[in-house]
Amino acid sequence: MGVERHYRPKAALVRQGDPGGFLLVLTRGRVAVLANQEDGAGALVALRAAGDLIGEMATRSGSVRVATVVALDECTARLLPMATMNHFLDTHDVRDAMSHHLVAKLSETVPYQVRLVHFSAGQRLARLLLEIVALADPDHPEPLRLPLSQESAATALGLSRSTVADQVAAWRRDGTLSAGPRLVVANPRLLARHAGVIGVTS
Amino acid sequence: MDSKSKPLPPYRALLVVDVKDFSAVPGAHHAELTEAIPEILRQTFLGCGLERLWRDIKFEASTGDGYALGFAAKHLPFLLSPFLPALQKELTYRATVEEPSGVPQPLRMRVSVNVGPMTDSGAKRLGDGSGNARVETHRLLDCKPVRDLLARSGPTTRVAAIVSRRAFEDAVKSGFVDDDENLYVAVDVTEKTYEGTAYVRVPNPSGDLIRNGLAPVLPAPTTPERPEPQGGGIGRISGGVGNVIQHATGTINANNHGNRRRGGKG
Repeated sequence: MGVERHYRPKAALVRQGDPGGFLLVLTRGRVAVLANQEDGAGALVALRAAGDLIGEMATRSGSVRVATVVALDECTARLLPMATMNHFLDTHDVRDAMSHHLVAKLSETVPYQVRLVHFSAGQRLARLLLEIVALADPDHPEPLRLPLSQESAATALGLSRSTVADQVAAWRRDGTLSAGPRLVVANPRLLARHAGVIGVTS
Repeated sequence: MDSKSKPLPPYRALLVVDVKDFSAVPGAHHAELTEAIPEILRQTFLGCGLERLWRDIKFEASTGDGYALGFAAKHLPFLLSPFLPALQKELTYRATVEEPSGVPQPLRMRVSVNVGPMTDSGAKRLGDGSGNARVETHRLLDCKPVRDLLARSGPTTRVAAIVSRRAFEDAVKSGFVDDDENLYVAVDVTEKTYEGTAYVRVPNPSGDLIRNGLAPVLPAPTTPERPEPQGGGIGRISGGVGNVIQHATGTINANNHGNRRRGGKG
């Protein structure tokens, strides 16, 4: 159902301000959802992976996109015009499920830098990296490689580039990350510990 | 004159959590999960800016498949907001990243919040946190209305909370909690010796909780000419969700849940 579209890393699937009226179903790859801020930088609001819907907020024609969605990997998505989507929902009696899904996604409108503000810089970075790795497609050839730069991570988390650089250097020393220059996780368990997801006893 | 009266122990705010279907987790993981629960709570307190509460815990105890935390009464409002939504978000995050050790992370929890007199030696003794208010908190945690909340929702609803009437009136109704009081829905509780009203709160409802509200009232028997159910606990989903979609950052909750006291969608 719908037209299949392919996107290279860094391509925009949806741009803020674009007209709405269609939905994208992500079938392959990860994307970053960015809400633009006054200074032009995009604040990371959500990460999406295969199986997720994109652009669901502005699906009535005449509405306008509220976020920019950028591919992190090589992505594939199916484009569904809203008329097609509505017909599907009605004929398959899943309108309620769609509404529930929309409600769940609405709760993800807080930027990461706000959501994680109470954590230390290291824990913020670890949580972001852990989540990106966790969302990789099951058949991704390099699931531990992070498809974002240190600079993007810094912007997303509201940290300075030097803070992120220092943290990355420390994690290269303790074995969490591989030697550079690219960001690659060497020890996921250690990263999870830095994220506060595994306690010190285990 | 000799009086047998005794001084009341100090009021404490009590938070008790319980992991749903703990016994369904493979036995090899029980100890790990039991130890993980306070760590999950600690991360939640940390993540929502309540580290100072965590450092001021008056007493705590593992319940095996859950955990109990006692705080100074003044902290009660924070146990409702931001803690409850924060716990939902923390459990969602953990489910997303599914830690490699193998402890199942799609955890769902019941939470009970109460306030009342509880013994507190100040030295974190085993007997601390005792009193009727403590017993009441555990009864609420185990009662049918809050179990139903998890049964009637999907896996994305990870937190179902029940708040005692006293805690609701002191903190929510009096305006100390940064929540609209309509987010808390009254339920009747009958659990062992406990009988009374409590309030349920679900930060992220799904499934039947959205369709029929947090405390659905079965339609009273009606004559055929009056098909509308009485006692309006059953909200209409289309209107409610339509309101949600209009607002880019609106919450689902305002006025969209059946409220037994109100009779009909607010």
